[in-house]
Order: sequence, then C-alpha cells, then structure tokens
Amino acid sequence: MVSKMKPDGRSALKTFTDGLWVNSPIAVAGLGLCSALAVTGRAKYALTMCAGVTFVTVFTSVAVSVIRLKIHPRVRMAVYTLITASLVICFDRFLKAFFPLISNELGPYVGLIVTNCIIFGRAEVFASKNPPGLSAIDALGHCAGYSMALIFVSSVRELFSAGSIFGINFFPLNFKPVVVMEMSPGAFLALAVYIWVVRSIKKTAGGNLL
Amino acid sequence: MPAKSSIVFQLVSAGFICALIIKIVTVYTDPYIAKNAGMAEKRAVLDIFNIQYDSNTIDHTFTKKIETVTLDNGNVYKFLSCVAFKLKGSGFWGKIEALIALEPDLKTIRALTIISHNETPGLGARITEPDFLAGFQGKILNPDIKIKKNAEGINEIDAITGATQTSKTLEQIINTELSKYFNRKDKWYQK
Repeated sequence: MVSKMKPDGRSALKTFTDGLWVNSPIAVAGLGLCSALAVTGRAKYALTMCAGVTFVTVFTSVAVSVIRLKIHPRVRMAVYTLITASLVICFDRFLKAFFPLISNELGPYVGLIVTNCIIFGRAEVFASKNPPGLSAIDALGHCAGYSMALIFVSSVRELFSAGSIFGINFFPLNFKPVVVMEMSPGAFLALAVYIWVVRSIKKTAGGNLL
Repeated sequence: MPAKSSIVFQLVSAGFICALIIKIVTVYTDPYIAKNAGMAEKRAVLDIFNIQYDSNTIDHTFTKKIETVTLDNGNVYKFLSCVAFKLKGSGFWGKIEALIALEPDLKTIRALTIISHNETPGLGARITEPDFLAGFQGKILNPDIKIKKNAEGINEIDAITGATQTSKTLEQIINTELSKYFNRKDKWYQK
C-alpha cells in the first residue's frame, strides 16, 4: 500500500474500490468473519450490524487520522481501543433507545463490534498514515465490502429459512423452511458460496473489473 | 513520528475525552432506555395474563387491569385471582429478568417469560424460546422447581442442551426469588 496518497479524485476512488472489491474484508482478506456468521439469520439484523460497523469504523479512522502525527507510538493502540470502545457504546445506547426490539435481538453482538478486525485493521494500516478525508473514504469502502457480504449471506439465509428477505415474502405460504440455513452451519454454507462467487469473478475478470 | 507530549498526558486526555462523549450520550439516551424497559415489562405482564392490548394504549390498559404491589425484591402483579412475580437474578453471563405467573392455587405455574438476559445466542439465549418456556406451564411448585435432564416429576422441566449453566442459574433465580415473595406473603395475599 502506498503510504502517502494525495486525496485527489482518482486515488480517492481507488481507495474506495480497494475496500469494496480489490481487498474486500470478508471475501479476500478474511476479516470480520465472526459477525458475518453470527448476525446473518435475518437481513434486518445484518443491516443493523453493517450500519454499526460502518459508523464505528469511519469515525475511528477519522479520529485516528486526526491524531496520527501527535500520538506517541507506544500508546497508540491503547488510544485506538478507547476510541473504538466509546463509539461502540454510543451505537449500543442509540439502538437501545430508539430500536429496542432490534437491540434485543442482536444482544451482545452490538458490543462485540469492538472486536471487529476491520476497525483496527483500517486504523493501523491506513488511517495512521493518511489524512482524515482519505481515511474516511477508505473506511467507507471497506465497510461497503463488508456490508455487501453480510447482506448477501443474510438474504440467502433468510430466503431459505423463512421464505423472505427483509421480511418481504417471496415464497407461497406452504413453503417448507430449510432449517439448517437458520442455524450456524447455514451461515458457513452461505458465506462459502459468497467467497467462492466473488473469487471466481475476480479470477475470470482479472484486474479489468474495478 | 514526533512525540510532542508525554505518554501519560496523552492517555489521560484521550480517556477524559472518551468518557465525556460517553457521558453525554448516556445522559441523552437514558430516559428513552428507561421508558423502553418499562414498556417491555408492562407488555410482558399483559402477555402473561393473556390480556389484549393496543401498543399505543399499553399504559392505560395496564393501570386499569393490573394491581401492582412493590416489594424490596421486585413487583407483584395481580390480575383477577392470578398473580405474577418479577424475578431478578444473575444468569451465567449477566442479569436475567423474568416474570412468572401462578394460578390462583399459588402452586401451579401458569407461564414464565424472560424480560431481559445476556446469555449466549443459540445456547443460553434459548431460554427465551417458546418451546422451552412452554415446558413450565402446568408444573407444580413442590415447593420449588428443578430444571434438569430427562425431566419426569411434576416440578421438573427439561434443561437446555449445551446451556447447563444458564439452566442452573435460571432454576436458582426462580426458586430463591419465589421463596422471597412467599416469605412476604402477607404483603400481597388477601384471603
């Protein structure tokens, strides 16, 4: 990775697509898998998780980028943790206050956003070496790549286990649910299919796509 | 990377700023969260007595139909001759709040619901599943209940496979909290 990119139009787009496609967290880098398996039973919950991770990653990246020249290298990790944890608490409180039912369903997984590898990965690899604007774009790109995977996995799981996506029915009422998709093995299955599809497209398209 | 200020100063100021942000968010969201928790409990009470309600008029329905007695360890809710108790205690991972309703004989369990918990999804969190909770219906306090493998007796309920500790702590919560209420029976029971 180039450590000092100028935030002009082209490198900004490149930064974004790097996260979205080229080095996307789940399909290529294998980061953030835990939540892709855990909260993808229903598309609604996956979407909430994506919103949370995006919020936390973007603001952590910006904050880390702002303090990158002032912070002492020996305490930087401690400070990153503080920032991430505070943002996660804020998001958790926000959900509890305004979306109590979703918060109930997600339970401890909202708090576990703090352990999502994408956040620290972006902070350490990118935001600590680049200006705030570009760091925000980079964080957004990686979260978009992450969200794409989560929405895919959760849509597949919800479609087969409940016959709907985002609560909208696609199958007739006498549809027999595939119970395994509701359970954890179903998540592995759907995730494997996603990674397979993305990597096959990458292989056939080479570097031409994005 | 030049270090312009000392490590201690940087850590303390970062901690201070983060604490300040969290405090502001907490103060702003607290009233909403308290309101949601209160609503969840009212909803659970109405559900356990099978009372129909409209989401907009929960407060009204609740005050009209339910008689509430507040004790040290929680509330007793009375509806006609049935009674429900709020149960609070430590689960395996965090606080569990539940509601148990008894038939007028004060021995038969009418229903159990979990209001809030922090157990592991897919394992301990299965205490909220209808299949598990339905197992409590009709069981008799003798004088307590047991959550165990291969339940057979009138006071035994099948435990959750893979969630032994949660099942055990839930059993403890029900038994100790109920006995507390029965020790103060004069406060809520009139012949």
